[in-house]
Amino acid sequence: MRHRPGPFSLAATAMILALTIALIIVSCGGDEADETKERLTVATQKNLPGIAWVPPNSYKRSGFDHQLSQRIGEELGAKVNPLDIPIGDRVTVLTESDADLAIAAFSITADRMKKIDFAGPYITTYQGFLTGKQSPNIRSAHDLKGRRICAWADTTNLTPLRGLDVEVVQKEDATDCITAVTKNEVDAFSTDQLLLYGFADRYASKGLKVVPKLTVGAPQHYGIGLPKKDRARCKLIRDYLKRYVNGTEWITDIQANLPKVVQTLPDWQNHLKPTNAAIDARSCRDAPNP
Amino acid sequence: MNDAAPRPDGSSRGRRLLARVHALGAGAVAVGETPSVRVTNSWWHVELPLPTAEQWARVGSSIPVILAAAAAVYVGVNKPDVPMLDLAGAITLLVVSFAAATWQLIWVRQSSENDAPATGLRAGKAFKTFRSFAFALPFPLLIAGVIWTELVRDTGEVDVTGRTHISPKVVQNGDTLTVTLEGQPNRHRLRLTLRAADAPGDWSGSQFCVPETQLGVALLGGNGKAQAERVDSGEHVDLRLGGSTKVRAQITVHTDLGCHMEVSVLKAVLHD
Repeated sequence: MRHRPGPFSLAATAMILALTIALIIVSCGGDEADETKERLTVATQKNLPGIAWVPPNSYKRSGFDHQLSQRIGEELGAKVNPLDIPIGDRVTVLTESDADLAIAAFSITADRMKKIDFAGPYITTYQGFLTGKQSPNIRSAHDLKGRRICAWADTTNLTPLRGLDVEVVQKEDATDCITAVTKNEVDAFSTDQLLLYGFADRYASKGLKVVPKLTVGAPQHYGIGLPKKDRARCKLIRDYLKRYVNGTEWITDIQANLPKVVQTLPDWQNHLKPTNAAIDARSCRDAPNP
Repeated sequence: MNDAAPRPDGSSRGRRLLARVHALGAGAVAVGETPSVRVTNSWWHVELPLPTAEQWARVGSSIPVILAAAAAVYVGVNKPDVPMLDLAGAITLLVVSFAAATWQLIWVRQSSENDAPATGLRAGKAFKTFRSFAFALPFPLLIAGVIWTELVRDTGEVDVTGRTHISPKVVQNGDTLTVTLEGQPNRHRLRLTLRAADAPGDWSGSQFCVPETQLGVALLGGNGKAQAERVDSGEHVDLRLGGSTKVRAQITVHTDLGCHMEVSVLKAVLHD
């Protein structure tokens, strides 16, 4: 027996149909509003917990760099389009115009400044050491003698290690070094302390810890990379960063993303916060002064 | 035989000069009455025309030009090793001297008392006074220009960057290095400009420490009072040498922990 639709069910169907059409229109309208926004391609990382992190089998991004890129997008009135890149491609994506910005734990150096512009720094850190449960007791530079140290290839971390009496094991990815430490294949992992605190927090269950007060090399000043042609945008971001680091958002972003830093690094604000003079001296320049 | 014995016609037996200068009015030279010198002896005589006052004036008017040009050549050849700005005054004086000399030469040649109008400066005494002034003007100017040049040679700035040595070049926080000036300083002060850069090679690829780097500069030894002054890269420090015969300065590097810097002398200038 066939069921004949009554007048009530017809009305309900019509209402559902109208609601669906209205929703489609509204959602399309929203897309149009988004389309009017400039899209900002931001080169970033996805394997640095606390800095730029995408959990396995997930698309949800988090981290200090991610939060900063969202803030920069809002400041410029643009929609951020993240672009995950290998660590060694950060300069190339900018010089070849594949990205508008690079916010990817990107240290400002004299050599890089010749090829691209930087706005920043927005945070400063030193290179430190991360050890595992089974690692030997490393407390000072003397304890590093003859040790196997894992380092991230294509980063500024390799140079300071060359001056030490250590065996450097290079890995293409930071997570490879974490694996090597947890499996006791190396004695320690050396990269920027800020990143190490993120790893220590993420892999706390594996007993990873940052060696306190042991650093090598010069301070690493993280900046936002831009192509040389975007000097006007560079200056806008520079001015925003000066407001950002001197305001509360910089503090709350670190507290939210890098809790281990706040817990274990004494006087962390003075250690990590750049001055306005440091930002002016490094931002939107072709070469260091003079 | 006495060659000087007078002859009845007034000439000597040997060579005898006779000059007969026709006095002519106010620069005018009458045809056939040109001032001349007669040279005569027993066998021949010749009458040479003597320059007129006007011709003497024309020859004389070349002297300031020749001297001004000579002074300019002297200064050009013996130019002290100082910035051109220090010599600007001397060069201006020499240029004005040469210009004044050239102008009076042209003016004298173009004008003569013959064709001068009988009014204004060219008339009479005022004209002669002005001409004398125009003739004399280049001399004090060129003398002042040469004296100025010699004063600058003795007291002006001397760039001695090429005479400095610095070691070691790559340093870290707290390290000291020494800047030495080759030879004796011939001035009382040294203006030293130092440059700090990220050490080349791997270091400049892994750091950027220039903005936080400062250099403490102190003069070593000598009679001068030791000074220690902290300056940024590219800023200069002025050291009082106090009669030191050998100049050595100690540079102390203040930079962030772990930074490797290269320090060099950007400019070194001796001055009084």
